[in-house]
Amino acid sequence: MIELDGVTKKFGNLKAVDNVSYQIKKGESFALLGPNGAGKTTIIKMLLGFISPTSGRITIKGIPSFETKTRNNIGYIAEQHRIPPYLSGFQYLHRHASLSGLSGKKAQLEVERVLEIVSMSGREKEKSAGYSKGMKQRIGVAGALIGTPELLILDEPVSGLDPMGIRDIRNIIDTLKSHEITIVLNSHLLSEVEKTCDTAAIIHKGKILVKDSINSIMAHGESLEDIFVKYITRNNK
Amino acid sequence: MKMFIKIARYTIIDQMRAKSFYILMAMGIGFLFLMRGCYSADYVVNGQQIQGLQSVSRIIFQIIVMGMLLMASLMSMRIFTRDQNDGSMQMFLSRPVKRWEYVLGRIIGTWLLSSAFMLVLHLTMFSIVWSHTGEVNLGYIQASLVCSANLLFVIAAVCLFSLFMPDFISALFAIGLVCTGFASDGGYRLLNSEMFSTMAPSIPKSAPALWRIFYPKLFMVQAWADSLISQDTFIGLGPVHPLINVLAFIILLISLTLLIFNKRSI
Repeated sequence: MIELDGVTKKFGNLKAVDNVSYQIKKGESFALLGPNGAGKTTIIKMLLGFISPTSGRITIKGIPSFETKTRNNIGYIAEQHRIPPYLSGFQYLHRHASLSGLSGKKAQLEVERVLEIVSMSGREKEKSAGYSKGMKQRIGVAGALIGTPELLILDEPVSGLDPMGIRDIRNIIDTLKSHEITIVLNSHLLSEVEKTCDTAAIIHKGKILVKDSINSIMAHGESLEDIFVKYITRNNK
Repeated sequence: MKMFIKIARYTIIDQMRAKSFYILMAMGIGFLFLMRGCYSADYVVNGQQIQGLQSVSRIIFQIIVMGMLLMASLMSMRIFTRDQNDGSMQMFLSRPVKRWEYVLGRIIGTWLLSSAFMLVLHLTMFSIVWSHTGEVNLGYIQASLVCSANLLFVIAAVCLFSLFMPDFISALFAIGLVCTGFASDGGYRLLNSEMFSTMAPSIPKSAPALWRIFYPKLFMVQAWADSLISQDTFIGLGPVHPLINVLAFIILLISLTLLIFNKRSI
């Protein structure tokens, strides 16, 4: 589904991503783990074509990620998801549907479907300026689900949410997993990653330190958090 | 192409959500009605009686255009920054929208809205003149459409500058660009006018410098628009018609904006 081949991204002299190569299979739920500034968001932005790599190649279903048509099948929720304050949840989602090629009744039905999934039915006509952070996050997830994407890219989807909000988003991800949707999750909440993802990569200073299934990474009975700290500390020295 | 139209439509809808849009429009129309007394007055310039209605309405026409140039620069200075801050840019570009469709949609949407705003004000003026004289001068509408090219120039310039300058500075810079053209072309026209020749016959008529010929001819576009109202002969400056000059600059500005925005990280 996704292939990164020798991808490097430099910002001036800084190598944000350094010769990263990996593959994500269809239906896999993959977590990108790493401390702040490790290069996770840069990788996600390159997957979406928001940033172009300095060198290397990224393809989604065999198509270079900078090509617009790859985004026909991608749902994305950004870190610190924002909704224009003058739009209601419904208007925001309707725009997503319209930009995905849906129109009229089809767009409306699609919006109603995703609102149902994120349990926001009934609040969709309110202006988003009045939404709580959790509600905005749910609308963001709903936006990402418009058009039933084959690939869902979630950048810190539970950041700043209360435990109830985190559980709700986790339940949504679990439901999506059962629909064979490929998920790329960038999260600092390692306990959540343990519960929701099949595979993970730990990235530090732009380099991938390990990429394996969650079960293999945690084979020695340690928690993902302990393993993560161990890898990062070892590579900081 | 379809996406570009959608984004232009969203731009118009979003701008029209702001109450300030309607307040400004009401203020503009109110100003025109307040000025209607000036149309009936008799004016004497240099000992010669001039037609009050024609002259004043033409001056007010140009004031409207100037006001709209300022408003268009303020409307466009925050397009990209606002979109980046409120998540609109990510919303558009995470969907199958090409970058040129997004940029062009935003620019054209803002241009259509500001041109429509200006046309409403000019139509109000047209109606006032019509009610005073009973004469239907379609030149006002033609002139308004011609002047909308200047609006597009300003919007394109502000959008380009805002990619590498703070918002307000980019608007100021674009207005500075316009003002320089106005001073240059206006000054040249004045120096070569009949009135100036009568006042200072010793000063010979001079040929314009090369930069003046190729500088954006926004003033001359407005002078041409004025000639459409007065039905006077228009004398331009330089080898090409001012509208072609301005359109060429618009294409250049938009192309540069697309080029720079294409390489930009979102």
